[in-house]
Amino acid sequence: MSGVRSVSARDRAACLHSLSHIFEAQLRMIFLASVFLLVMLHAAMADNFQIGAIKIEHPWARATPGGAKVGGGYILIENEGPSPDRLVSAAAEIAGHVEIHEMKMTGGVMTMRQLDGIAIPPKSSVVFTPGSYHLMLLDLKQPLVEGKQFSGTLTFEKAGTVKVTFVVLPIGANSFEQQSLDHPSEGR
Amino acid sequence: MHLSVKDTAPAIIFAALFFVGVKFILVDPHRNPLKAVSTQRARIESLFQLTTQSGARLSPQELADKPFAIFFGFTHCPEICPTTLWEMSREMRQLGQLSEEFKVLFVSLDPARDTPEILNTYLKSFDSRIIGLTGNKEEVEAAARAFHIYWEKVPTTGDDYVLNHTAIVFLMNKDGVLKDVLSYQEDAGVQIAKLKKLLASASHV
Repeated sequence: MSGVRSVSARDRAACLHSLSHIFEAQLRMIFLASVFLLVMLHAAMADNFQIGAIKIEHPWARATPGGAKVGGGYILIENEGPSPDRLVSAAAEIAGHVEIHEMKMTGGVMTMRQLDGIAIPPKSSVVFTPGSYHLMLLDLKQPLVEGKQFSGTLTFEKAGTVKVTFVVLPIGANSFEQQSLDHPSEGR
Repeated sequence: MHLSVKDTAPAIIFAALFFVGVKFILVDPHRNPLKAVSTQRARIESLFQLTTQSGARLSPQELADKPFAIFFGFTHCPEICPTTLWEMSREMRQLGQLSEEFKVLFVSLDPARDTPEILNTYLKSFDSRIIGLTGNKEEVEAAARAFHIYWEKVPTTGDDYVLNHTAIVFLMNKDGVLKDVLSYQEDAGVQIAKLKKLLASASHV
């Protein structure tokens, strides 16, 4: 058959070269897409923080009523390690200072007790939630507004200090899972 | 004229019985319904010594002879007080027109920090019909005692303090008779049912 010539080594090289370009371009796309996905995942998981064996999940706080100088912050602390640790202090950029409190309701009477620390036993978690422990955010520099975030730190006796970000949920929120609630100050 | 024993004995017996009666009936509230009523009336009266968030004394017109829900707290309370006020607001909204039939009162146990202005700003985050009450130390303590509220100042850091306090909502009829209570974190449906019952019993008076 005439008209068909054998593929020269140079042609093959050229062909492979252009193929590798295309391949390279696709690889680059995949790489960029993966990076993008990881960044998005990281942003989505931004409510988990880790320091050593201590994992902190879903730091959140309640929006404050008008003019309130005090707010409540809540977290879930997990000690994934084999030795006990202790949360000894906390701070928040939005508060003059932060205290650790235990709240109890007994016989209709609410009591609040300041704690100088909370033990986090190994392989256990301690939950700060309404009706139990809370981080009392005192001398608020500005109100806690629903939907906003603020940063803070948690200091553990062994693990050290970790930076966390708190999400502000509605005034009546009972857990970090409540993202939208009725607003009773409207619609009267 | 000489008074003989026969003449004076009935008088003495009568006087003795009178004083015994006074001691047991008027001094022991459990035996005297009149005393119980005066305790309840004292509760209502204690409220009129307090100042609302507008800066004026609470007037009888504001209670309008209606049943009321009353809660004692303080604005430096991080959790229970905002939650209770939030829940009451939500329930007032759910009750619609029925919520016009009762009043909601929030009395501060911390008059040193909770001035009428502070209460006014604070209560803007909740239903506008909630009446905030404060006063001077004596007025607030008199109201707290009239409602048998427990409270205790607990120092924290520096000059700061929190209050341990009775944190349930008392449902009272217009005469100050306790009809029911709402507990913290109680189911909303249960609370609404209790409020409806309070209103139903009021309309039968």
